[in-house]
Parts: sequence; C-alpha cells; structure tokens
Amino acid sequence: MNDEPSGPSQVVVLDGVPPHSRGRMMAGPSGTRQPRLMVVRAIALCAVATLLSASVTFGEHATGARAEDYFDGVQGNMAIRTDPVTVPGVGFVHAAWLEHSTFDDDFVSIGTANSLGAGGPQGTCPDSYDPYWSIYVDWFLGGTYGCLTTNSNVYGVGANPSFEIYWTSCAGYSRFVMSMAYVPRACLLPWNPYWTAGDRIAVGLETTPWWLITEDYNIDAKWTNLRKNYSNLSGWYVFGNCEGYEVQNPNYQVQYVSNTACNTYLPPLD
Amino acid sequence: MSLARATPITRKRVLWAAVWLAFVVAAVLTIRAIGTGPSGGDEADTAGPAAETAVPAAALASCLALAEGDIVESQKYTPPESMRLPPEVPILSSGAATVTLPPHRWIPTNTLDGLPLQYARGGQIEGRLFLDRPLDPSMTLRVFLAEGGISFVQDSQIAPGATAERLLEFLGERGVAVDIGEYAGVLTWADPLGPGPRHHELWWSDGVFAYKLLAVRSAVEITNIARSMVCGLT
Repeated sequence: MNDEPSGPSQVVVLDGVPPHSRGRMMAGPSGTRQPRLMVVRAIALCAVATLLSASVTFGEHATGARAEDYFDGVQGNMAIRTDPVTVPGVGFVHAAWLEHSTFDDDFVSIGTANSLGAGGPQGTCPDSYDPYWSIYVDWFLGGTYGCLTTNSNVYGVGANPSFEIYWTSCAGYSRFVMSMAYVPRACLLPWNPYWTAGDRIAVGLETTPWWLITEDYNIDAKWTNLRKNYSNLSGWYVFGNCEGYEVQNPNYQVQYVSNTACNTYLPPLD
Repeated sequence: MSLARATPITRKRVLWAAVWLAFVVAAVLTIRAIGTGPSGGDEADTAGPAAETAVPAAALASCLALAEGDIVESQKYTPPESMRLPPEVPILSSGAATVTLPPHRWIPTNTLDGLPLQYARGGQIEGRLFLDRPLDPSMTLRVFLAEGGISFVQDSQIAPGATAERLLEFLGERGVAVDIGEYAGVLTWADPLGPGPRHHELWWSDGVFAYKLLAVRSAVEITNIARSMVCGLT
C-alpha cells in the first residue's frame, strides 16, 4: 500500500464535435456508399440512439441523502465491507457528495474507489485494478468535471475511514476542504468554487459503467456517525433519515439504520 | 471502358436511387426542423428579445446581441462514462420550501427567451425554471435542459475571491470570457450530464449575488439571453 499522493496518469479528453455537426455528418450523403448499406446504418444508429436515450445515467447508485436545507458540510465514516470483483471497465465507488442545487449541476465529493478510473481536462483518477481502494476527490464546477486520486491503494476490505466535506479555512482561504481519516486530502481548489453551500448532501455507492449493471457485484457500504453542518448554524447535527431523499437503482438497497447511520448495498451479499 | 458499361442503368438501380433520394430529403428536413426547434442549433437564428428590441442609445456595447461565430470555444469535453456523477434526481425533489417569488428584477415579465416561468424556489439559492410547458415531477435537470428549458440560479453566498478572472483561470481553455452588460461573465460548453445534448453554462456576478444560466443553446444564444436580462431588454 502506498500513502503517497499519485498524480494523474491518464487523459480521457475527447475531441468533441458539436452535436448538430454530428447529425449532419450522419445524415449526409456519401457518393461512394451503397444506399442499402446507408439505410442499414441509419437504422442501426437509430437503435443505438434509442438505447442510449433510454438509459437514465451511466452509473448505478444506492444513495441516501438529505435535502431539507442549505449545508456547508457533511461528515461520518464509510465502511468498505466487501471486495467486489475487479472487472476491467467497471468501477466501484463509495462517496459523499455536497451538491449545490437541483437547479444546476455543481457538486464536490470525496470517497474511495476501486478499478475503473475517471476524469478529464480538470483532473484525472487513473485505473487501479487491484484489491485496494484509493482515496479520491472529484467535482463538477462551472460546467466541467474533474477527478483527483489523492492517495492510491490505501484501504482494503474492513476499512472504515472517517470522511468530511466542510467549508472551512485552508491555506489562508475559505474553501471546501475534503478530509479522510482526519487528514485533509484536498482544498478545493487552488481557486475556490464560487459557492459556499449546497442544498443536498448524500452518501452512497456507485458502479460504472452502465452497460454492466446487471452483474452481481456484492457491493456493501456502511455509513455511520453521519453528521451535517448547516450553512447558517454552527456545530454539527445528526444527519437524519437517509431514506426519503434516497436514490436507488433496481436491485440496489438504501436502508435507514438510525439518524446517524445508513446502509447502501447490492444484494445478495456474501 | 465506357461509362455506360461501368454504370448500367437498370430498374433496380433506379429504385435504389429513389430510396436514397427520399432518405436524403428526409434527413435534410429533420436537420432543419431540429435547427429551428426550441433547443436551437449552432446556426439557429439569434433573433430573440435582444436582437429584436432596439438597444437604448446609452447602453453598453456589451448589451448588443452577438452574432453566430462571435464566440470561439473549446471542443473538448469529458464523456459521461468517464465521470463519477451523483445520481440524477428530479428537480422538484428538493425538500427546500417552495415559495411564490416575485418576478426577478431582470425578468419582470416572468418570461425568458419566449418561455414562461414554470417553477421558482427562493432561499439562499434561488432557482427559476423556464419551459414551454409545466414541469413533469420526475424531470431531472438533464432532461429539462434537453427539452429546451432554461435554468436561472441566483446564489446569495459568493465565495470570497470568486471572480470571473478566477473562474476563467480554473476552467482554462474550457472557459470563455464574455461581458454581460456591465459585468464580467464566464461561458462554458459543459460536460454532458448523461445521454443527450450538451448544455452551456454562463456565470456572472454583480458583487452581491452570483448568477448562472444553464440551457441547451448555442454560446451566442445563451450570451444574448443573459445580455437581454441584464440590459433590461426582457
């Protein structure tokens, strides 16, 4: 195991094409292609587009949440209970989020992850296909996603690290500070996000990508000591019932245990 | 080899040519319909409130409507499968109290880009949603934007030091500086939230609040919408 920060080693930036230009390219004639082939391809493309539009998200989740006020922090412990099969192309994530609002897409997050990486121009979390879980932070700010593995392969099955997202001081500035095992892992970022509180906090597990969601991964994350920090009050308060604001894909489970504990899992568990 | 021998005209080929022609015509018509729909295309007509209304003589140059091609932005983005995004939730699922808000000072008619206000929620983070029809309770932000909606967010808690310059520095080549009336704004062609079209986000601040517009519109269109708001042309 390695407790040293690992830098980005994978770039997944794609050279994008405006959606409308893509449409024109697909529909445009090609003087050298046979009409039958073009018709077949058009039908195939329509089928793929229909399949894509039918999928709700590219990951599957079991997430407990609170969304009754404005928060500038969430904390607790996240237990890694199982060692899911590390399948190439599949990622396992246990994470806590603080989301700015349902009217936009901004969020900041800290968690543990295994297998498939993530990221883009704003930062990258590399693949890590081994039994150990890495600490990462990620965010969606100003319309862009970023991910950073802060410590590679530091936890195995049975680990129960504490975590915290909190708007507080770091390096002389007020920022979202992301901590795990009581150690600040990231002050987001060299430049602040432009907001200081969000209206939704959540904890849960995620598997990616969507096309392997029918596999049984035996995933189990247990959340304890959950607390929240209101943006207009000092101190930490019990998280509350994680059900009611939960999101769970079919077969996944979110289970209220107490006002400070929540189980998220994909049964059956070993 | 003569041309006639190389491409003999047969009844079958004529039939295929007719099928091919019908396919091309249908495709062109479809593209035109999409380009002029509520979501607009990169080449969609920019004529909106900002373009149709005479700009007051005293207005700033940054109140004028831009034309397509005036904004150059990065083509890079992160694909959805490379992101660990939180689960999508319905926009209306938040437990925050729903209140009846008075019209925003920049949107006195409660209409934006021709779309009526469908939902507004006050508080520390105010949100207003504009769409051509009532919101479906299960509608997520991604679906709302894909269907032509506009989200306008006003946040009363601005991070210390949060300026357009710093946001641009953070975003790098993904951010574009645009002037929104007297304010400095930052435009981003956002990473996709899932399947569907990518939206644009436009951020600016007047020093008291931070504002944000999200919509599936071209860079120029969303900038012109913001200018029409700030410059009193809505």
